[in-house]
Order: sequence, then structure tokens, then C-alpha cells
Amino acid sequence: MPIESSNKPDPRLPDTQSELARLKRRRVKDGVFKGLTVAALAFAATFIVIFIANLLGQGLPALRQAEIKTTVTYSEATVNDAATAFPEDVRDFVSRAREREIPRQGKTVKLEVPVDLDAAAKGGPRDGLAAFTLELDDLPQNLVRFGIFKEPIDAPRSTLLKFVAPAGLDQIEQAVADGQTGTVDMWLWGSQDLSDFIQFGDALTGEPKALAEQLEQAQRIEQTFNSLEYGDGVTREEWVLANSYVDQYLKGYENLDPRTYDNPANARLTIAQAEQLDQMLKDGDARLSFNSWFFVNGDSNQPEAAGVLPALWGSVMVLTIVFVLSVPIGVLTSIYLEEFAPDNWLTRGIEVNINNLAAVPSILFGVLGLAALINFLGMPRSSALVGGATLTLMTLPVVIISSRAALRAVPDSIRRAAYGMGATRWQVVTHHVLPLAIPGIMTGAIIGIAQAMGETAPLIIIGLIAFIPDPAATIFNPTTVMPAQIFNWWGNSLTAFTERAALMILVLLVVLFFLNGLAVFIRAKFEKQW
Amino acid sequence: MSQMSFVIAQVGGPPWWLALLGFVVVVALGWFGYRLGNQKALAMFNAGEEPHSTPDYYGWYMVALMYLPPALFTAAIGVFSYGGLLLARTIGLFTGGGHGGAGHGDASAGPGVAKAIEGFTSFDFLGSAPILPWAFFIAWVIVPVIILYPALGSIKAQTKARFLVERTIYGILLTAASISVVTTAAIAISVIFESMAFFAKVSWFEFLFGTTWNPGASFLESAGRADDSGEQGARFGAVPLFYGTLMITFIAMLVAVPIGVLAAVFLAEYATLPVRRVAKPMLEILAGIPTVVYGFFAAITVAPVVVAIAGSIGLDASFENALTAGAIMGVMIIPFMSSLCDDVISAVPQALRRGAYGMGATKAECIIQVVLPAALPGIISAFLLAVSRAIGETMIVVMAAGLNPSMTINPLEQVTTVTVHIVSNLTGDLAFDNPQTLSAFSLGLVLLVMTLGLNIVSAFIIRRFRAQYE
Repeated sequence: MPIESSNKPDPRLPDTQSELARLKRRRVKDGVFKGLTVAALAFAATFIVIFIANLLGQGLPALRQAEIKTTVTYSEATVNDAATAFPEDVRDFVSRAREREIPRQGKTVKLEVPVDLDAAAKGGPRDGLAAFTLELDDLPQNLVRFGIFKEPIDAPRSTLLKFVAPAGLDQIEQAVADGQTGTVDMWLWGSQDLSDFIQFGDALTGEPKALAEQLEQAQRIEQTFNSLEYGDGVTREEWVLANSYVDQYLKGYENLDPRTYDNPANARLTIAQAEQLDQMLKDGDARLSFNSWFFVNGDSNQPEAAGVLPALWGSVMVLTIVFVLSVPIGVLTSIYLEEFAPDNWLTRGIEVNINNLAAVPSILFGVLGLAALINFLGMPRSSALVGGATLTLMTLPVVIISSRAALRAVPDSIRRAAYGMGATRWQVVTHHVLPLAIPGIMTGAIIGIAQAMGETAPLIIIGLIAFIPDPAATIFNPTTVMPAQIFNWWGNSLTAFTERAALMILVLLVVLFFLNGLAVFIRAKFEKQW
Repeated sequence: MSQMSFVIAQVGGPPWWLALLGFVVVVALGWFGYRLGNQKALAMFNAGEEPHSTPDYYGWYMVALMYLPPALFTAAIGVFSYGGLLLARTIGLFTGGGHGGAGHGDASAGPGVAKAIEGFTSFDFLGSAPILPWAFFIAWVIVPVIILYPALGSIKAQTKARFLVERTIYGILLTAASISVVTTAAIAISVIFESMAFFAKVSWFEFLFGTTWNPGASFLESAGRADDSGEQGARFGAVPLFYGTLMITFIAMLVAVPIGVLAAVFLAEYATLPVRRVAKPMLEILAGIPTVVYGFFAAITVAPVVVAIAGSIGLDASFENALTAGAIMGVMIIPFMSSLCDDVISAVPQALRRGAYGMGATKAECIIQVVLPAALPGIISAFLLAVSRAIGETMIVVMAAGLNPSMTINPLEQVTTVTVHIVSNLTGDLAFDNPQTLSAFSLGLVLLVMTLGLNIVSAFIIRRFRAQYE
């Protein structure tokens, strides 16, 4: 049988050349596909870099705040017209928030009270302030006739001591030193609290507030220029807070520079003002200094004076409530489901329910908070309490799911050993399983808290975006939280607020970063691999 | 009325330091009871009596006996008052005439029966509010003191302290576990109740199929000045909102699905362990960013860029547009999608890969033709969960998509979503029984049904997937 020549390719095999080409194409495809997967990850990484860089670029300028050096005049005229406290050429640069401080500093109150100088001579000026009663005859007769005063006014000594400033006590001492005796009516300098109440309506509550109102109506309190401190008027050179337009201009934002406008009349600053500011910056009469107000002030309608403190405090209160409520309830639930529950329809129902609850959109928890917690249970709207309760319900599934995973990770041999020693079920859990699961539980709890910290939508619905100039006193008072404050400032058209919102975002992200870092640390440090 | 419960916490109740003092007294009393029981049991041990349980249990036995009555009393007060209130609302709702809403003070609209129950259960039966703190004081301080002595006397060697304690603990655990069930029920009840009140005013057919969303006029209508609005009146056709939601979700999925799946493939198939250790936390950073921050970024940074790019190719884009909101939402969902897909791809058995390699497949061929088809049910399940996330997402769309209920197919124009209108209708100053406010609850109901439906389907598919390979 002749042997066929083998230089002809076997027709059953593909041609080597085309096969090699095909292999090459397949390898290229292989590389392209791998490239695509890398590109997907690179996209995410690029996004993060751009995102962080952008937020830093927007937020970091808010760490500095423009101030200008100018003379401030405290006199009877300027406390009544605060704008005139500043020289005319820089008046338009000064923050309205600083203007509001002028009457607060320059004005005070005096109140007329009977002083027992004999007692003061014996026991010191405080003893001169005796409790007194203003009979109807002592009060302005027209007010009595119109029925505004129907009863005498009782002024207790403890309240009077709150109303009188140290300078007022000095007045009594002076009168004693001058040799006056008997009980005389004196106009004494009022305390800061009384002054704040008469001028701005805050600082007093309850009975002192009621009494101050009555005394004011009875013309026993009058506002007056604080000549004690400022004499006939004092002019001082101070660094004062500049308004946001000056601030933004000095930071180089183009939309504040009139020279970039086609029609400079549309700009907030005139060209002359811009040149003046440039000159002030050169002369050292204007500066950008560290924005410490941001960390101690509350919300304000003037962006340059707005700060994070109430929102930060609100977040702390809300998250404390979330932690205190969700961790015990979550851990008890997961202990029930993992260690105690019989395998029946009820248990399965609870499990399905928790998994579904974890997937309910957060905004529906806000709807729940509004309908059930505020309207039905009567919790105070906008309070840290209702915010904390709402976020607790939202965080619970997260805590439960992670606690269950932590409990499940504890090997059964430990349970069996404990049972073998005669422990009851509860003893097995509390003495052996739970201590081993605590790192995992804490990791889950911290992640849940971090999630709750960034949550905004449900809190908006239950009213935690109110305008809050001062940190809330209790969990029943209106408050706001950091993400809600970001949303609030974002909604304001002034760019200075946007800058502050970006800085607040950086603060929030730093806190979140530390929380998540803590969770990772706990997991790495304490979690056992069985 | 329902403000009652907070009388205790606010004015009229005892000051907070008294509440704190009460707490300290309760703890101290409990500790005292524990010590007594514990020591009595120890004494029995020392006398060689062999009690049924360990001494520790006799201590907790005392605590349980002392504090179960006040705890049950408190629970009963809660169930009695709020349960009754709920019952009254339900009766009011189903006998018609009830406002159904949980608003204040307008219960007079309800029929007599409901009103009677509501009146009876609103603590009026206790005479006046200040009596309640006293009732709690008696229950939590006086009653345990009274119980203390007989409880101690009941401790004998054969007393089964452990049974009582463990059963109480079981009860506490079950109560804790039921809180999440109550939460789900409460969400459902609150949206369903208020939705029924809404559908009493607006037909459900118009709501689900109407194409005009113009609730603004309802305020004037409820004030009896419908003519002043100068329009046809309030319209509650929610189709434009559903449309906007779906459009933004679609854009988000266009971003999240390819990138999420590819990133998951990289993590599960290509990445070495050190790379994985860096890449996975990096994706988790994206998951940890609060949505309000995404919204801020979308509105302040991305939207102007989108407008500028559209302008440069001659297109007119709105600053609030569907594309920006959808794309940023997609980025937000990438880590969610990738971590779920990572799990399912890793769950595909190694044998399938070995089989493919044995047949001479390249890595890409193995992944595309073997691994991904095998993981497909899991990927679909992840996709459904991602859709559910996108539908329920609020802050990004509130900040970047706008309020305009239009039905455009142009992604550069404003659209709006269900969640945006829930927020905008619940944050206004309107009365609670105004149709515009109530419509938010109906939108919430739709949202709840959609997301729960998607989750249930998703859970079903993933269970089938797991059953196949485990």
C-alpha cells in the first residue's frame, strides 16, 4: 500500500495558518475583555478621585474667611443705627451679622427697683435687693385703667438678683458709701440676660421671663446706651467679619469680579469697590483668616456667619439614640432568631420580614415617622427623638443581619461544650456565644450608624431641616443634622452657602471615614477565624 | 389627645431629673431584690438543701417577679390607648365619614362609635393627664416593694426559678424580634390608611392612569375657592411621575449594570488577592458616600458640565436633567451591583471553569460562555435589587432631576420621580387632610409595592440559583 505524501495537510484538520490567525483573534479578544473589566474598575477609581478633588476644591476655601480692619464706633448714635458704626467707605463690606452685634454690645438695660440701703450697709449690696411688690397704685395708671394690670406684681429676690448686673451692685455700694439710708428707688444696670431678653427676646424662660415682661410694661425697665462701658462713645480699631461678597471676591471667584462682566452694573461689587478691596488686601487692611466661626456658630441667613455646631450636635444626639435603641433590640432579635427560635412559620415570617425591611426605601421610613411617630404617637416634630426613632427602625435590619452573621460564625462545638457542662440555653448564649460574637456585632452596628449618619430623605420628611441657629437643648427640641444642613445650604442661591455645604460634606465624609475605619479595625483586630 | 404620651416627657409631667431618679430607684430596687434572692439560695446551698436552680437564677427570679407586673401594666397601657386609637381610626375609615388621616383634632368627622372608642382610649378615662406619672410611679416603685416580701418567701428548694427566668427571657427576645414585624406593618398601615383617605377624594383610576399631575390647585379647592385657580383644578394623574422614575432608573442601569458586572468579573476572576484587597474597599467607598453628597455633586458639578457639553454640540440642556441624575445614581449603584455579582460569580462551581479550560477556552471565553450564563440568575436577581434601589432613591433626584412632571424622551430635560413628589408634598405647609399631602402616601404605597415586589421576585430567583449549585 503506497504511503501518501504527508506534505498535504490533513483535510480533517483546519489549516494551520488560519488556525493561528484565529487563535490570535481569540487572544486579542481575551485581552480586550480583561481590559474592559479593568476599565470598569478604573472608572470607579477615577470617579472617586475626581469626586474627592472636586469637593476639596469647593469646600476647602470655606476654611478661610475674609475680615477687614476698620474702626468701629460704639456711641449712642451707632447703637441705634448699626451701619454708621463703620466708616462710610467700608460700610458695604461689613457682614450684617457683625452689624447686629453692635447694639448687642453697645446697648444694655436699666431697671428701677426699691433698694433697702440699710440692709445693704449691714450685709452687702446683695442684701439691699429685697423682694418687693408693686401695688396697683405704683403702676402706670392708664395701664391699670385699661385692665392691662389687674393684680400687683410680685418680684422675688432670687429673680431680681438674676436681673441686676455686677455694675448695678456697685451702684448700691456707692450709694451706701455716699451715706444714703432708708429704702430708695434706684435705676440699676441690668444683667446681660435681662438685656438680651429686652432687646432680642431670648435668654429668659419661665417666671423670670414673665416678670421681665411685666416690669417692662410697667416702665420699670428701659433700654439705654451702655455709657458705663463706652462713656460718650468709643472708637476702636477691630478686625471685623466681612460679608460673603467681599469674601468670595477676595478668594478669586469670577462671578464676584465686576471686571469680568460685560455690564459691570450687574455685578454685586462695583469696579471701584473691587479696586479698593485689592488695595486693602495689599495694605494689610483685609485678610483671609481661619474660619473658626464655622465650627462654633449655628445656622444664619448670612453665609459668612453660618456654622455647623447645631447640626453636628443634632447628629450626635440622633445617632446616640439610634445606637442606644438599635443595638440592644437588634442583638436580642438576632439572639432569638439564631439561638432560640423554633423552625416554624413564625420564625420564617420574621426572617422574610427583616430581609424585606432592609430593602424598603429609606424615604418610606420618613413617611412612617410622620404618620405613626409624629401624628399618631405624638412625638414632637423636628426633634432628635423622632429622628432617632425613625432611623432606629431603618438601622435595625442592618444590625440584625450583621449580628446574626456574627452569631452564626461562632462554631457549634462551643455551644455543645457548654451544653455538655450543664449550661442552660441563656447561659450558653451570654457566657460563651455572645462574647465571641461581639466584635462582629460591633462592626455591624458601626456600619449601621454610619449609614444612618448620612441619611437625609426620611429626616427631611419628619422636619429635621428647620432653621436652627442654636444647638438644641434636649431631644424634644427642634434640631437639624449634618446631611439635612447640607441639603438646606445647597438649596440657597448664594455661592457662599454652596462653599459651606461643600465644607460640611468634607466634615461629614471625614467622620464617616473614621467610623468605617473603626469598623474595619475592630474586624481585623478582634474577629477570630475559626 | 394623642399628644398624651409626651405629657410625661414634656411640660405637665415630672421634670427629667425626676425621671432619671425614678430610673435609678428602679435599678437599685432590682439590684436589692436580686441580692436577697441570690443570698437566700446561697444560704439554702450552705444548709445542704440542694435548690432546683443555681443561686444566680434565684436573684433573677426575684427581679422577674418584681418587675413583670409593672412591665405588663405599661405594655397594657400602650396597647390599650394606641390600640384603641388605631381601632377607632380603622372603624372611622371603613364606616365612611372618617377622615382616615392621622391629623390632629379633626376626629369629629368620624362616626359616633369610632369617636367613643377614641375618647375612651385617649387617657381621658384616667381623669386628667397628671395622674399618669403617678400610676407609673406606683407600678414601678410601690408594687415591686410590695411584691418583694412574698416573692422572697416563695423561694423554696423546689422553686423552679430557672424556668421562670428563661421563659421571661424568651418573652423579651420574642418581643424584640417582633419590633421589626411591627415596623413593617406600621409602614404598610400608615401608607394604606392615608391612601384610602386620598382615594376617597381622588379616583384610583385617575391616579394610576391619568397623565396630568397638577396638585397645586387642591389647596384653593379645599379653601372653597376653586375658581380662583384659573385652571381646570387639581389633577392627580401620576403617570408622568412613574415615567420619570422609570427613565431615570433606566439611565442609572445603563451605567451601573455594565460597570458593576465587569468590575465584579475583574474582582472574582482576574484580581490577585492583593489587588482584590485594595479594589474591594475602594468600591465600598462609593457605597459609603451619603446620597445627599451624590446629589450635591450631581447638581453643583456634573449638571453644568452636562449643560456645557450639550451646548457645545448644539443641544439645549436644562440644569436639572434626567441624564445627570440617572448617571450619578448609576455610579452610586455600581458597588451594590458589583458586590452582589461578585458573590454569585464566586459561587459558580470551579468544575465548570475547569471544564471550559479543558476544552481549550481562553479565560474570556470561559467567563462569557460558561461562568456568566451559569451566574445569570444571580445577576438578574442583583439587577432587580439594583432597580429597586434606584426607584426608591430620593436625594439625588430631589437635587438633580427637578419637579417638572413632563413625559419627554429627551434625557437633557427635566423629569421628576415618585420620591421627589413624596418629599415635596410632605414638606409643604398644607393641612394634613389636603389631597396634595395625602397623595404623597399613595405615591408611597406605589413605591412600597414596587420595591417589595422586586425584592420578592429577586429573592425567589436567587434561591433557585443557590439550590442549583449548593
